[in-house]
Amino acid sequence: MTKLEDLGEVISTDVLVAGSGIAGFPAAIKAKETSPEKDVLIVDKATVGWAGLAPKGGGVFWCIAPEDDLDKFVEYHVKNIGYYLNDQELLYLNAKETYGAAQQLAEWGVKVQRDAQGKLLTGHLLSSRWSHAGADLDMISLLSARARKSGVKLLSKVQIVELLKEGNRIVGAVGFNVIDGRFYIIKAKSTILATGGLNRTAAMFTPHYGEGVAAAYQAGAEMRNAEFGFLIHPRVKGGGNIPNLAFNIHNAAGEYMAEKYMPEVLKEEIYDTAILTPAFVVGVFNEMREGPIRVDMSRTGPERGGPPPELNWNRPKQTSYFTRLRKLSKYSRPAPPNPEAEIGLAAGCSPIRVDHEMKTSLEGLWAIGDTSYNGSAWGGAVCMAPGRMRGSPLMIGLLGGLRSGPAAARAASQAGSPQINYDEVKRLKDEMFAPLQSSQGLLPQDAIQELDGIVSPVENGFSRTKDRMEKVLSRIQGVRQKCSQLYAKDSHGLMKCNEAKSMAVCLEIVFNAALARTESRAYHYREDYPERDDKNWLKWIIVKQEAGKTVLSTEPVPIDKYKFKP
Amino acid sequence: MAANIKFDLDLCSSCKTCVDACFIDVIRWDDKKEQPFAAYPEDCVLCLGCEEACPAQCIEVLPAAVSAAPQ
Repeated sequence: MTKLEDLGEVISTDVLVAGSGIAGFPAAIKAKETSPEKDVLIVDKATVGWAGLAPKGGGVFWCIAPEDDLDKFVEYHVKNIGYYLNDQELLYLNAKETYGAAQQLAEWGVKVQRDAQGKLLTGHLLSSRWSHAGADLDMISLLSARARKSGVKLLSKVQIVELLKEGNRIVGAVGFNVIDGRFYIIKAKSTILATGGLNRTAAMFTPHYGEGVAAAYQAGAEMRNAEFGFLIHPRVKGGGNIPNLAFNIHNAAGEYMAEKYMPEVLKEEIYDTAILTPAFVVGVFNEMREGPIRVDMSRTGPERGGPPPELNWNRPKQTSYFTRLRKLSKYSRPAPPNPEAEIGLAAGCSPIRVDHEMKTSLEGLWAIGDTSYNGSAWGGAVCMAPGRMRGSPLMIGLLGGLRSGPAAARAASQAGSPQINYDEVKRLKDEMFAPLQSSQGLLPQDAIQELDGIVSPVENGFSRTKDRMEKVLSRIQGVRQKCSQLYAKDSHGLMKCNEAKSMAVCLEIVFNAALARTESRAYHYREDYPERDDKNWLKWIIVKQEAGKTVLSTEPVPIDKYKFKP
Repeated sequence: MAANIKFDLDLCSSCKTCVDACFIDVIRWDDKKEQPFAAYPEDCVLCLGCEEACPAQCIEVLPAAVSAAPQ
């Protein structure tokens, strides 16, 4: 008689958390601490305690301080950042809970910055409208220690590839150890995805190709707001960044782009380089067609952005790490005195649709952090994390973890033991390991490079038309089909194969949604529909997969019940 | 991206921290020699996380085309 154990290592748990970053750890800890009798397992393709974005790019998180005006913040966000596609109830809920969430981090041992009286240190780091709080880059290792102490079980170097289903319910996941190739079958009554989204902003910080998003999509979960995922930002032509560059670029006539195209942002004293408005990026894009845009290096000073003097950040690990990173500048060509700038973009996708407890459209499945940064709709029509507000990804990850953990643990109490189908697991295993059976074909690194090459040109990724998007989509689908020819020499290569396949799936979701939205809103800019159309498009686009086919639908934003209307 | 990852094995204390710190599985552990090695330098993204984490400060990560840091 066949049994699952013949296929690989079988683990049973009440709650499975895939991903051990700033979302996954709070979910796991909270699940265990609210339901101590439940088994909670946290799994990561990296070493648990070292994974995710937070140990490198983190450290500053969005926080609504007691002195901030909550209503004014929400109103500003809905009108100027989310463009009315927010779930305004969730935006309120998130904003209200930020301060308490930061305090929870401190209670768990994270060294959250405090003032001389021991009070949580918050300040208007980048904006007059909302505050930030800070912690050092060791927050994940400290959370890891807390998780261990709480009784959470940890499993490192296992990449989750597919979700297991029993009817319409998710009952765990399968994956493999990236070091030794061992196959894992994890039975779980509740599963929380915290594996990050597709994020091509900075490879050095984010090893995320949307593996969890692709797994959820292929299991039938709904996606939302996927068309807004790409991050658009001016940069030095040919690549490279200069601090606060966006605020210091000018045209040949000497007009500064920020002052010309987003004076209202400067008036608000918002110097967050993620805030760039659609009018700004479209303006810069059009001016680039007239002639070069250049960076005024003499204006690149600390007067724009950077912590105000009253915030005495004491984060030695962050200081040490960023000092080390600066050595890399020795290897690149020095910027010329007046460098030319261009519009750059980074592919992103974090669209898993969730409710206010971060539950997806599938029973037994929750999605938090960057897997659902867009799909939760808290931020509306924003790009992927940071979603035009620096520090928001850390806080959104934390909030999602705090809510989903207890909800998933409660649901596990109601759920029966997962029934796993042997034949289905066998099929998934054969598919997963197929690249190891070939000795030639497509290298995953080449597939990733090809996908980057398809979507990175601004005329493909940013300035969109129906014709161009159809061609882009067709090319993405071509790569996705070619992924059947992927080959891997070992389990590390197998991990890269899953990353390449996941990236192709994510990009297909993005462009399917983008084709459907026949208007321009936020960074979804359509040359053939250049205006925002509130009459027809106060709607969310929902993308899902049914029987292997992509199904699109729209859902009106319930604007009548929300406080702020166009 | 790709890198030239150098380990000063005379200084290495065999703590394996670099293997943990490498979030993309570029650095592996050689059980026989009991020392780290760059198994997939072609996939290194130059995050310098291993350099930063190493208690003995015995790792130097350089872009692939660079053999030594400029003075």
